[in-house]
Amino acid sequence: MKDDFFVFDNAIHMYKLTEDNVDFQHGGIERTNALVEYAKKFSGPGYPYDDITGRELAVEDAYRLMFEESDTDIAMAQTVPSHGGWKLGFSPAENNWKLKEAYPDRVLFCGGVDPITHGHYGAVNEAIRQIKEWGAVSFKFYQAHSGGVHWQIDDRQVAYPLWEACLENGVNNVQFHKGLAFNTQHIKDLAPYDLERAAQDFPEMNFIVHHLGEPFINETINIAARYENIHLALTAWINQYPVAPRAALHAIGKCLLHVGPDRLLWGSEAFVWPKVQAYIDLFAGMEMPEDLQDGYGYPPLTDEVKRKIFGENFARLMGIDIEVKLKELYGNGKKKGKKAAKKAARHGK
Amino acid sequence: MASERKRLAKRVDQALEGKVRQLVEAHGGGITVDVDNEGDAHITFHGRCAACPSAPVTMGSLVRPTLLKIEGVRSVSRDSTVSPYAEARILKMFGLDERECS
Repeated sequence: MKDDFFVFDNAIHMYKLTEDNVDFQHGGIERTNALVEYAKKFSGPGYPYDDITGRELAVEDAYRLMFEESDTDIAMAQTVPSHGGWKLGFSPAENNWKLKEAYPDRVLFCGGVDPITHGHYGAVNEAIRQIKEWGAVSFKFYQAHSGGVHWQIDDRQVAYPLWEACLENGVNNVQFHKGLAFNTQHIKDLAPYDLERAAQDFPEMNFIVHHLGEPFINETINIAARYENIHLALTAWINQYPVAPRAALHAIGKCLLHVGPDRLLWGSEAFVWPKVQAYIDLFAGMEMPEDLQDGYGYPPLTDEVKRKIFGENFARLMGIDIEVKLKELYGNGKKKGKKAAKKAARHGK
Repeated sequence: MASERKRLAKRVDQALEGKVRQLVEAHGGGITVDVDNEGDAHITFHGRCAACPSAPVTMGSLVRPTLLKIEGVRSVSRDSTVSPYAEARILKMFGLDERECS
């Protein structure tokens, strides 16, 4: 808990950049470097990046960074099925599943498949396997691969079988990396325009869009504003704030003005930026400047708004009762309970 | 008291029928209203109107004037998704008293 905010981190990634996962023939080194350079660009004093080149994050370290060194209550470990350059992706499904297995009370598992890597039928079968065997409650997708290879969310042959399989197996939310092209991915392949038809055709599915589709920010917000089953994860934006605070405030302000506070999600993007608590403190103390409220109509960043973004919205989407979860984690005394939980975790209980 | 409130709530809801609901629904949205014992009406926009930047204009030019004509309605409000500055400008545009719209 941060003050009385329940913190549910939508996006943490168990990275694996060790040699056995790097595809040296297909730009693995370059992609790793590009990712680290992006993290470096949006870092600064108090908000450091971590050069994760050549490393694989252990579940114990992930637990320490998320739940001992930050006020995060629960988190979703997201697979990154972006394979060009990495054999199993930047953040393989197995690594994220292992974190959930180690700390099932704290971590939810977001699986990942890709119709290009796995093939049309293979992706559906692997998604079902990750749901049934590994307990996936969500899926993350990266549609653009190096050199302009990509697929579309509204492709009836390639993508719709995935959405149907998810719904048939109890998963009613899917997530998408939009914008922020790396390496030789084409930015047009990461535009948000393919969300509309899918959101119309699958009203019972929730489509979560990451990074506001930068640079398609206005388009992403416009589309999300018109479909109640589209949600926006503020991932990467909170990380950009220390470098470009006014740009981040404009982005968050536009989201609040056009989409409202009920469909915005908190995500830290751990662990390329490992000081998760710094970002939690930053958002908890963030205010919408009066000149932006006056000149752009952005609403104030009230505690009610922050409470929704920090955790209430994603908990509602995932069917988690916050009061029940808090009692499960901390008993009746929340902060005292958290200290006890930390102590118990340190002793392997 | 409860039946009086029920009757007021019915009158208020009926007042939204026709032009107001037609316009809101034409934009892919919806509108509901709750009225308390003091006659304070609270509006909720749904669907595409829930966080529309033009919702304050719809409130100021159509919803508030419509509901304030009903006997027993003291104020009309909604949880805003625009800044207080924008709300104040819109109230001024339509010559509305801030107290009626708190």
